[in-house]
Amino acid sequence: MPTLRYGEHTLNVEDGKTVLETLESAGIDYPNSCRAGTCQSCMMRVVTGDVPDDANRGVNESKRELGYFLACVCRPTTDLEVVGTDASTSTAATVVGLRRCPGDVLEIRLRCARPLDFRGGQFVTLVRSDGLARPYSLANPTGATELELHVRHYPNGAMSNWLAQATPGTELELRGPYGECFYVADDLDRPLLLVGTGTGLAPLYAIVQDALAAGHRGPITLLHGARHSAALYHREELATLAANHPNLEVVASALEVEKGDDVDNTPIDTLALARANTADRSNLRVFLCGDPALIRGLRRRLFLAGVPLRAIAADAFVPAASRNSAQ
Amino acid sequence: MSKSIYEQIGGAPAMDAAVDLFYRKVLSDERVSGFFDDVDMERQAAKQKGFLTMVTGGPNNYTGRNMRDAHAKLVARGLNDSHVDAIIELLGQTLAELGVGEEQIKQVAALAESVRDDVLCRDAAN
Repeated sequence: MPTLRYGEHTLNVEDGKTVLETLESAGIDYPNSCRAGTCQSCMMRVVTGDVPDDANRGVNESKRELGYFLACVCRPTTDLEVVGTDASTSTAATVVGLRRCPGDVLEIRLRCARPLDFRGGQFVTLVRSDGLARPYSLANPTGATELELHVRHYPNGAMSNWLAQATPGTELELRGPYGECFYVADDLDRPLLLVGTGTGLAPLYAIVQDALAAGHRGPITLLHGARHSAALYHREELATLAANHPNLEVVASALEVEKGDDVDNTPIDTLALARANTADRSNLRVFLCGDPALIRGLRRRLFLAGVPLRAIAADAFVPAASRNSAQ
Repeated sequence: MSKSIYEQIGGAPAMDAAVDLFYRKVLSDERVSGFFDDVDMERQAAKQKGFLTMVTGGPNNYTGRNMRDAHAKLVARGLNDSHVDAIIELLGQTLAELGVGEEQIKQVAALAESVRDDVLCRDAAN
């Protein structure tokens, strides 16, 4: 009889019983609704062991890669250790470097007390000793040991203003990783379209590096936008990457362009839709990161243009509600 | 026993494409699209999948209470019979595009009809 570990519980799974039923017979309540593998209310994540194939049918590719499955249709055949979807891990981290980039962007380098198991494109939450917490995307490809974060520096931003004054040795707590915006090597020939504004570039930079490292052969288009061309950062790094990979195209877009600067002044959503319209839309994989209104609008328009909903990964950077409060 | 409509259109593996088709119609139809302006698209798609699975006879555990809870806010915003009519019409168009015959679309419409009172949060019809 397989065993099921959940928190401090170790339960025997009776023949043919699901994970949800097993938890319930032990008096453990877990959110659920349809009990038929469709509504996804009872989603869980497997930490050790393998769930049967039909336990994650209908769960999108990114979640499946992370081990997510549906407890109501999962009938374990081997021992499993599972956690809820809200389970998070935490580690201590130390600032090891700080660089100011154009566009009021701080590039912050961190080293963790223990290695962080993340996928390029995911984000973490930084927590200061007084509890102030903010989410930031990692710009590193999968497997990096020294983390690179791109932080937009707001003059009155409680966390970013503090981070701007950090020095090597500054200590923080890091929670995560979170998010489903990452590369899945399920088809090396499919076209990829990555669209980001501001520090939305960070996860996209990580995803592009992961795709290239996986040997992705399909065309990759990275669109990076800002209000003003002077705020576009990391342009040299992107140019170098594109020069070394013929299947990668990098386009910078800004509404106001500095004279003589090689930046497209077409709005970034127009560029994105145009690229999608000339690609094989049914096979296109899209990543959207940055300004929430732009990201949500673009997701809807790309979907209506024929891109399958689950092929669009979106990470809207919603600003903190108390951004201007002095902490 | 003949195959359920759910099985005919391809069962679980085909549901994502079916939901995409249906959801695009809903978002493109001015009669109902306004109700979908501020929703999380992924969660909405999961709900629509549950609905499509249920009305085509796939595995489900439908409870009217969920349907009521989910629509109570929309009813307060003016959701009424005309919107349910529009959804049932778009559902029919979706199934027709997936190759489902007219007679069977009527059966699906009848099943969808059976949740009308739950969606509109009112007591069983007269």
